[in-house]
Amino acid sequence: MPSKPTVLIVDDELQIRRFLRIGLEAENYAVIEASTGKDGVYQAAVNRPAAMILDLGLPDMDGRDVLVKLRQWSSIPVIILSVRNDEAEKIACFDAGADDYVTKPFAMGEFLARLRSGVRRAQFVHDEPIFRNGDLVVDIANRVVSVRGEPVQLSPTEYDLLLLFVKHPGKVLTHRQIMKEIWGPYHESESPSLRVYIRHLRKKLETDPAHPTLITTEPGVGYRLALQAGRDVGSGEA
Amino acid sequence: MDTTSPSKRGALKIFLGMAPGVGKTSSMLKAGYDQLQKGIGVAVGVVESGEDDSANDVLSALPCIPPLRFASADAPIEELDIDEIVRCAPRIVLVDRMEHINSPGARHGFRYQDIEEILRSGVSVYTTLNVHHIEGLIDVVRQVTGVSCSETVPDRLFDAADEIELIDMPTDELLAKFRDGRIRLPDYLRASAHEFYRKGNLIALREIALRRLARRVNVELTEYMQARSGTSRRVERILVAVGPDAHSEHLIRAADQLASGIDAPWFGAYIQTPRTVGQHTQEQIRRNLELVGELGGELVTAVDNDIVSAILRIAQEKGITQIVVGKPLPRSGISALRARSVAADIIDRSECITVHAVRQDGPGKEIAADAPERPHPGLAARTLRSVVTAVVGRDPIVKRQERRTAALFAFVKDVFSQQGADNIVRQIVRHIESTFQARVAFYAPSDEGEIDGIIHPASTLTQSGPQEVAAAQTALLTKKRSGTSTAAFRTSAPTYYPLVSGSTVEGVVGLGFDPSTRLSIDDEALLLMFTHQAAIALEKQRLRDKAQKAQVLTESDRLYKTLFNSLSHELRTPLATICGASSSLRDGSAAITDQARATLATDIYNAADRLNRLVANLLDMSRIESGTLRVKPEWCDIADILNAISDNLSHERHPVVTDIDDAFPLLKIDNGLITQAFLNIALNAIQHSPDGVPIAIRAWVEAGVPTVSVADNGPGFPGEAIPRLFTKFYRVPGSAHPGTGLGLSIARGFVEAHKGIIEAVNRSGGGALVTVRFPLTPQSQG
Repeated sequence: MPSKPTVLIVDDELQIRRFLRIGLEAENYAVIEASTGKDGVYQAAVNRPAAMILDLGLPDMDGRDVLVKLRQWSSIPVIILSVRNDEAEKIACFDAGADDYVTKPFAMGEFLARLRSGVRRAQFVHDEPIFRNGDLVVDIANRVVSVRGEPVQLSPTEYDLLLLFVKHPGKVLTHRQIMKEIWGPYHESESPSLRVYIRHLRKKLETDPAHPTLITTEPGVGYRLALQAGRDVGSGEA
Repeated sequence: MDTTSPSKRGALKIFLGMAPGVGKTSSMLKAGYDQLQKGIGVAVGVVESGEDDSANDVLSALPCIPPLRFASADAPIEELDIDEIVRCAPRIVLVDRMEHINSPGARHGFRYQDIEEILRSGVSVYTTLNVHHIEGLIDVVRQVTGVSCSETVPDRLFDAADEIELIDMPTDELLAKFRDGRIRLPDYLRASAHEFYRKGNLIALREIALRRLARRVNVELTEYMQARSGTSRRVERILVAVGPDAHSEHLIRAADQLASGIDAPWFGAYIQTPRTVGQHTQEQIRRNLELVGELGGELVTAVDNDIVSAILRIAQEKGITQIVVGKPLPRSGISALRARSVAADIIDRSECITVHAVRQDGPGKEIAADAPERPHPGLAARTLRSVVTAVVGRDPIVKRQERRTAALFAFVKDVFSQQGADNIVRQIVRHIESTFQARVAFYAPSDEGEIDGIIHPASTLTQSGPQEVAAAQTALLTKKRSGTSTAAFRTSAPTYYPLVSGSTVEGVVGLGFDPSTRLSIDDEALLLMFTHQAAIALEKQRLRDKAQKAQVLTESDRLYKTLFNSLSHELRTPLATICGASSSLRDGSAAITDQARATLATDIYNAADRLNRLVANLLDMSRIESGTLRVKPEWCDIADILNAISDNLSHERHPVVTDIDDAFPLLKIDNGLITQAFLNIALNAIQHSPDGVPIAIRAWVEAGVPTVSVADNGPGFPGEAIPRLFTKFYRVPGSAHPGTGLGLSIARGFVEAHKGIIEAVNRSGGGALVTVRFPLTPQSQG
């Protein structure tokens, strides 16, 4: 087993940092803390943590600016932890490169699950020719998709869409990001076509399309390919 | 045609004199010259070279916008070239003799109308006026001096002037000037000049001028005081009995004077007897009726064979405290008896109403011929807002009157039953159109009290060029008809009627007739009543809207208190749990079992969760209440929303089952708001269901309408609660569950913000059912 993964908490509230530390250490993470944005960027550079937990309302700068600075040289998973609950803010953070967004107040259990998933994703090797996630297998080299061993016929657009998710497993992709990748930068963002294709994909891939577990919805923000625990994705459980 | 710039209205300065010869024109020219010296653009519009040499020198030194010339019997007449003045746009234009009546070919009938148009273009006007030309004073001037002139200027223009400079001259000096022949006399004075220029007359005129100026200041003061106190106590209400004769103008003016002296509303009652009247009298009646509206009175007309009864009935309806009637002239024979009896009968039968019998004198001999005749059997009519009673008789006049009364009744009924100004306007247009066979345009005044050229969408007369807008604007400002067959904007095709209620104009209606149509006096009177009632309806609506705003404030005050009471309970309960449980964990002995610790921790978590929902609800409610709720629609799959809710509520002790029809279309909705709406509905269902009982959310298309329902198996809603379920802070009586009564009202707020419909019923098999129906959104694919 490698050494414990280190998590950097950037939050100005002492109480938040304290209970996060308790919860994280109990889950076998090493924890470092910063109470300002500036210190957060510094700590990230010096200590090279495996993930960052970032508050948006920092005393010296907006958390989103911390994210923008960080993304210039680091691709570590960043989980935003904020009281701000509007979709526009969430979308802006995802567009700036956030991996996940958790609204305060939150339950520790769910938060830890999201963190685990973020860390696991970061360790996932992207250039595998075959992508496996739960029942889904995508043979990227041969453009073959199968579910539970059964081959699935996808239209070219459906395949492109699935491939986009496969390239960013577990990560929330905003509607705009997806539209831009699949239909080009000038496509009308008002169009319902994305929702239609997601519906088609779910019908073909999900066990129960009405309750999707593979391509999940981030309400008002976008979609993500949910990583199935315990499968051969990334490094497995710590 | 040049478009007029939307610049500010120009200022009007009047150089007021007591008589010709005091030097108004030369004062005006000098004032203009002074401005020119200061570098301000001044131009002469129309000024006749005068008797004074120095004034003529000044005149020749000033730039001049050449007037238009119109041929006449003797010398050509000069009229203002309005278009050229507007085009040159000097800062100030000098215009002599405001009272001048324009030549037949000119755009407007009167020079003061030219001045008004110039002012509206943003150019300021200096003008001259003698006091005996002020419309409201012509009676008193005639009584004092015996001079009667037809050139008059409406009082409102005088009162609205930005500045009035009284040009005074000692009477002896003026008399000397007159004797030396140094005064250029206007036509109407030529014959009677020696009568006019007498010391007693001049002193009286000077006094009248001063008093009139004082009244203007007083009006300003009264308006200011009323505006400050926000109230105007009106206890007196005055009614003037308007006849078909010229003397009635005098009565109407007297009533206006009386009313304005005590700041009372007043009414002009015209009772039509079923006799045919001659063309001349018709014109006179038309003038009388218009004068009532023009001076700010409310016109009431009725058809009755008994004039006295009709007047007293109207007096009673309108809560009149004072009646103005004409005092009959001494006459001989039977006509004296008849004429006397109207005034005398009113005095006899008026009970506690004060009756002013005003002496009738001055010009006009028609009274004997047109004295109202009585009685005429077999006729019955009722006035406004009274039920039309059955009319017995075969008389065609009776039938016509019956139709007329019915039309007015229908108009009043429809207009006054409407809610909202738009609906009122729709009814106004509809009724005027069908009653008078005209196409109708409606203009509402802007907040600045102007016509901005936007025709109300309900209008059926939709042409609106600069000429039409200017004519409508004139009607608005002058409170008089304008357009075809009127004095102002004669060349524009429709006729514009102001909707006058008291001192405000609530709108302007334009009527476009077939070229051959001319309204009969009957129709004209009926139309004036229509416009007046329309004005009242619109004014009421305006005041209602105002009151409603105030009401909202009171309501929000009450809500604030409810909120406060409810909140302190809703906030303190979970806080008590958190404090209690967490302090037990902190201070408690080691004797607390692990299981107890877990229970305490769960309690803390649930209490915090409840607090969090409460805060979210309060924030949502404040968004709805403050009007800052913005729906950001995007294409959404309802399955995403409903499944998210199902997941969100999975930790509650109720399974949430979703059943979504494949044919359910994508909706263009605000994901966050609709999610919250259904979450609140589902939470409410959970609260009222026994543990473990599933909540069923179903989405399907019913008769083309995307529909989502949330059903529970609880006890259902008490019947009396259903209409109030979605009301803010409403809690089902005796409800054992905690809550603020916000959840469902927020759901309604969010659903209605999407133009959706939300309703609650009890299911036939038990339990409650809340249904949301979405409006159809056009989309490319389902």
